[in-house]
Amino acid sequence: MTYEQKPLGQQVNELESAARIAAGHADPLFATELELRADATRAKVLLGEAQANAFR
Amino acid sequence: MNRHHMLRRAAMALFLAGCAMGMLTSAQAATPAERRQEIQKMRSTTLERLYKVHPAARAAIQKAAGYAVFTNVGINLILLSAAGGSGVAHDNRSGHDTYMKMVSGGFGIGLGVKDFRGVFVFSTSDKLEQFINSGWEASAQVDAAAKAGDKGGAAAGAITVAPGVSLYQLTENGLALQATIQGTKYYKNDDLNAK
Repeated sequence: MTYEQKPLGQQVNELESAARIAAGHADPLFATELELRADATRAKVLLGEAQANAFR
Repeated sequence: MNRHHMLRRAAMALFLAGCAMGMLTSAQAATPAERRQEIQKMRSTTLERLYKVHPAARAAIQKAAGYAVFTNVGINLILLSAAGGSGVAHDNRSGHDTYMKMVSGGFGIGLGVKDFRGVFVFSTSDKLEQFINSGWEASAQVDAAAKAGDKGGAAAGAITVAPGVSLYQLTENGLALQATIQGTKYYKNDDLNAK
């Protein structure tokens, strides 16, 4: 399964995990970049849920 | 949904959870020595595969200052992070191995790629040291420009990802023509190097 094929929730978990590793290596810039990507992906999840509820 | 169907789904969920717990336990139980051994095995397998699809790579790697082999698949004992992988950098001059981890924001190694297997080749010791010690990252610009096939000789098939750093990226069908390492960083694995 490619990254793009993974469920958004899994992508969020992976990005958060990667951000923790980067932070553990004193790499705050990369850690922040990954956290922002996790936030953006989380927003996609919420948007999807909101759209699903709206059409219910 | 009938009761029988629900029970079957519950049983399947329990089975999958059990599998996941089993994998996690084996990963946590693996000693540093076992994990190093697993990475060494991955290195041998990846190099064998590279030499098979591109025999000229053997000479290019032998005459380089060093090389590093990484993958995000096939290392059962490690399970470092679903968003990353593991590898080892080898100094050809001293013979020293440095175990490393690969961390991706998903858009790099995962960009349309299921399995990443890559061999970095360093032309000088400085480049190798920089890769090992500085949390190396291929920039977006380098990635966009990095294409193979225009060099000829032993280096043909490798993708220049930075000055003095080439990459052989293996795919299911041979060598990739363009690197997918954007947004991926490489760090020393202190757990495996210290013990």
